[in-house]
Amino acid sequence: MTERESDPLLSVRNLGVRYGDAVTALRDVSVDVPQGGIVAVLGSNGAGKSTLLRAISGVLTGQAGRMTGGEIRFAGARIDGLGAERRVKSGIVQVPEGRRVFAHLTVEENLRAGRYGNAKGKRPGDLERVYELFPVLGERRKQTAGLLSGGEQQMLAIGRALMAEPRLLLLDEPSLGLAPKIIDRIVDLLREIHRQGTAMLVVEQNAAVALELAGHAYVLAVGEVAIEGPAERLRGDDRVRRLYLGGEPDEESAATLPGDARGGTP
Amino acid sequence: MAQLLSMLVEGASLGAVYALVALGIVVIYKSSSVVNFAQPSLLMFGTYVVASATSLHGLSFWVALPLGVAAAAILAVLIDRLLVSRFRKTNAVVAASIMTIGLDVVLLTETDRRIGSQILTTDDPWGNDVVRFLGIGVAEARIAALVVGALLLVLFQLWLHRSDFGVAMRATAEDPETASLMGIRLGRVSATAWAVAGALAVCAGLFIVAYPSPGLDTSVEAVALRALPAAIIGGLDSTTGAIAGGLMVGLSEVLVRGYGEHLAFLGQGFEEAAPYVLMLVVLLVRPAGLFGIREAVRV
Repeated sequence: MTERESDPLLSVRNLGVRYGDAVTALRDVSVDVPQGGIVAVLGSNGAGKSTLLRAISGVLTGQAGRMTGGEIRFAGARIDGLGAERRVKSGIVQVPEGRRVFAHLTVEENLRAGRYGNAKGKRPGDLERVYELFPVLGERRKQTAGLLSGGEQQMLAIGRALMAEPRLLLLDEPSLGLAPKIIDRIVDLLREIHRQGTAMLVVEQNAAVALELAGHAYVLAVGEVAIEGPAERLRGDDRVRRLYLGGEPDEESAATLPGDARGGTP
Repeated sequence: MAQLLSMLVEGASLGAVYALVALGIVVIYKSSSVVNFAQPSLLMFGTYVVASATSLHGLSFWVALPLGVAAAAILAVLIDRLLVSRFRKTNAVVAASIMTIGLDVVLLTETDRRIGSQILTTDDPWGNDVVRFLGIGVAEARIAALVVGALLLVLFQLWLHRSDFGVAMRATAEDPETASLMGIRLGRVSATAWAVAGALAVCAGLFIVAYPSPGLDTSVEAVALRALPAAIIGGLDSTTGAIAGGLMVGLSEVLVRGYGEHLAFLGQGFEEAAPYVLMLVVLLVRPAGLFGIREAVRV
């Protein structure tokens, strides 16, 4: 099947995923990412958000997981049978949860590792493009990545993914463990990357951040899509507000929400 | 004094050879978390190919050398593709490591059978000359081992630290799953590591059987096995450690043999146990080896 303009860039249909013999992680999940769009997937811990990204990236087997049904299409073609590296080369690159930079490698070596997924291979100036977007990485190019701050590591993880020049960027909790001010920086940078033409699928516990970025959003609960709609509408949805936007004071993630999402308090 | 100096040169030369073998073990470990106990059999196999090509089929050393290196590299890749990769799917690295012990026994039995009671020479270009300097005499082959060994070690380190493939290999060593998310093909990294390990083992083997050793016989495998304590002393995940460990094992072996009369209370042939005793002492103090980082990582 060839790619058509009207098709979604990524189309996940009726996806089921199971870990081992017993644990069902995803059931009948369908998610679309339009060409050039940003889509958010919200949900609490264990809802299956990371599993969804792992299935799309093709790295389920590391944790003895497997697809039990459904299909994943990217740019019109089935990809669910492909190996992880083929999916990267086709244009889907993930920024994994917890950043996972190669701590013993330098900043520049991390970026060179990211270049492996670029279908066009090594090209002049590819490192410079990332340094232009993240000047702090350019300043620290010879520094060991493990010594960067959390925000810088997140920038490196994003920059490393961009080295493959993805059409679709999968982001797993990009705000995790970062200070509100840094989260704002990351959100601005993601907007800029999106403006330059990269579609995104953002998985977040921090719904305020995700709904600020995305045009469309899904809420996963216990492995199934519970709510779906335009981000605008989900921001006003009572259930979403109560469960994911800090409506309840016991929400642990409330501490990491940026200022403008905490009901107006500075 | 002259005796000590000559022992130091000889120990360093032997150490460089052990380092080459140990480096193979480290590279495989880094790229796939499998400890390759079959490294001595790769050394024996490749060295046997060279020695039989020269002494039984009359080929020149320079023709036989690439044949032997290629043979060991291909055998190593086959081991990785056909055997080790099966374990990788389930991440059973311990089982895979133990499998290599059995593989070592099988391969050594076959090379031993072929060598039989012969002592095969490799017709290497160093011959039986002895170089004299500073009042000591050292076999030319030992000097060559030191120089070529050091050169290969430097080239290897440059490759690992400068080349794109070296970056991919180190990234895989640190976090295989993230490496595969970056489009790095873990199977290719692992196969390359095995091929390099096989090639390095042959280079080392050719120096082990060079003068003043009489040639390739079945006793060489015990020498090759000493690369294992070398790798562990340095730290299984450190290439620098492999070099340091190799040197320490080489020096300890030569010094213990050289001062044997003063160490008579330890019994005869203690030099063969010395590398393992050294390994135990190092592990007591530093469980990850001298340069190992596995356990120093902060998360």
